[in-house]
Amino acid sequence: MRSKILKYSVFLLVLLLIVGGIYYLKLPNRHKAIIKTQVYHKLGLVDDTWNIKTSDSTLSLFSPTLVIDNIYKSMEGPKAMTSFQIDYTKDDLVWITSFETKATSTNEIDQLSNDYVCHTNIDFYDGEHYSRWNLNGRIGEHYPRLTSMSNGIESYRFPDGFGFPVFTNENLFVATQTLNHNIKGDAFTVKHNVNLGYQPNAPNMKPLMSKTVFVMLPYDNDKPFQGPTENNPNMCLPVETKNHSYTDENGNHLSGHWVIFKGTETFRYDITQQLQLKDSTSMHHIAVHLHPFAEELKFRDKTNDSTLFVSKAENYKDKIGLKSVSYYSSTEGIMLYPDHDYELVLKTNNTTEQNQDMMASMFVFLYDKEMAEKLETFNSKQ
Amino acid sequence: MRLLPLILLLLFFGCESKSKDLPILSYKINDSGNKIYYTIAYQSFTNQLGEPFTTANIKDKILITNFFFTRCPSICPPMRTELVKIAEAFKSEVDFMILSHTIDPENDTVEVLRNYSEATGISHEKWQFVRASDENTKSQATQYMTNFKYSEDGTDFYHSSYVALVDKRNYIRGFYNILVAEEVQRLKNDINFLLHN
Repeated sequence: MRSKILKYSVFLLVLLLIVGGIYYLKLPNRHKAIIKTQVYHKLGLVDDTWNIKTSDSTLSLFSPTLVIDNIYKSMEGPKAMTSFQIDYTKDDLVWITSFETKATSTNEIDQLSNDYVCHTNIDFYDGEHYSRWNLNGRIGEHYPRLTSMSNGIESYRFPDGFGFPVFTNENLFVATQTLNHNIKGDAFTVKHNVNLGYQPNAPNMKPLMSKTVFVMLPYDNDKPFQGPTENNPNMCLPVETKNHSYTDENGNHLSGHWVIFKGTETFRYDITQQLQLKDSTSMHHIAVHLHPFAEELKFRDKTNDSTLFVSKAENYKDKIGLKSVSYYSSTEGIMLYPDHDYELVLKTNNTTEQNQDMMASMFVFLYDKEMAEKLETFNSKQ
Repeated sequence: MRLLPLILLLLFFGCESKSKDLPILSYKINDSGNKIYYTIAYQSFTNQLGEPFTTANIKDKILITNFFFTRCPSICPPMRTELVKIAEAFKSEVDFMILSHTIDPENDTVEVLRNYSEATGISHEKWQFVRASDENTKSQATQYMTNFKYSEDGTDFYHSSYVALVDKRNYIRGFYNILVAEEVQRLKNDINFLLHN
């Protein structure tokens, strides 16, 4: 009897392993990375904790160890995320003024190539953030992304005198993902070190609000992976139809992460709706997220037929990756108007024989007049 | 061996140091720039047993609260799993309870809430599910520094994966993203801090 139970148990275990193995092998690279990272962390094979250090002016977060054992294109690599506060035992108002992300070795000292940074996103909890200031109408209006740093644009500082005001006990959220376009062979480990610069409240500081604008392209929801055809030349080939897929008010399916074919292409997308400008305001900072083989991303005023900012991307010549992506930062700023239409224009050049994937976003920081008024009265009582 | 009490003492203070002082977060900065503190209050709510739920029900209780709806396809199921674990972890603490507000009172009737509650396996006293009119629920969400709305395609609502921690005097003392393991641990530490201080 006992041997029969043992036999069936072993049989079931083998069956489970085979079915699980087949299921795993069919998963896309991105999902395999999630499972492997979970296994490495849950089994304690690598460090799975965030190391968070706070000084008077910098919050430094070291991610858990992430194992790179494969080629990981954009949005595919092992990733880690956590919530954090600058100091949740205090309720002091401070201003976030700079961001930095970099790859380090697991000793958290030696810096590695930033080729291993896909992106680092910083979000805030909009309920808590806006409710304190009695700005409840803003809750849920936009995805509460404060900013994103990515390969080629790994650090930046707001122009002098500008910042994002938060209380030290507010919930912030970091998600960081690795990238490896080039290194094959033995697995290796990295950490990401994310630094937020901040300063104490000062009455002369000007508040910024962040908005994300990005290129989206239509795809055929019935045959999403057929790609552009002669009948539908404007369709894109989405990388997948779950993440970064959207449906517009007319029921059209759009993707913010799509495939580019060999050669040069230009993509345009109207971002007026994404900006949702209620009043005229000035734009003081633009951080840009692009993928390799992007060449430039323009922010255009369609109404005036003028280009407001061009972000230039420099690609490595001897390997796949972005060497640098330029960003905009100015105390003077660029005026934006609610009755104007705006668009992003992206130029790409896939110099390889393989299809590559593409995203193009701008994290724009606008002067927040409503918050400035709130702060003025708040500071008058301090 | 002689060092054991000292080590335990150091560990105790080491663990407590971050929870020593939880600021009161239930305030709004008014148009004059002043922080106006307030306490959480209930009026015209009904629980899963069909009984009225008022401020008296949270008197001298430490609560964690969230907004949900029973047909929620996205974040509610994993949130519920975490809340069940927390309810079990604080099963013997009579001063602790969980309070979930439905944001879909039209579909989440008393009966639906009772069935949902029973499926959690947690007692009615430990975890209450409450409903009220849309207007009342919106007003409650404002007290809890959040809001909710229908999504564009009508299949889901915007609502957050954060829960609020409320102390025995009905002040909010923290917000926690319940879908992040480290945050759940911070929440548990803070519940313990409020229970024992």
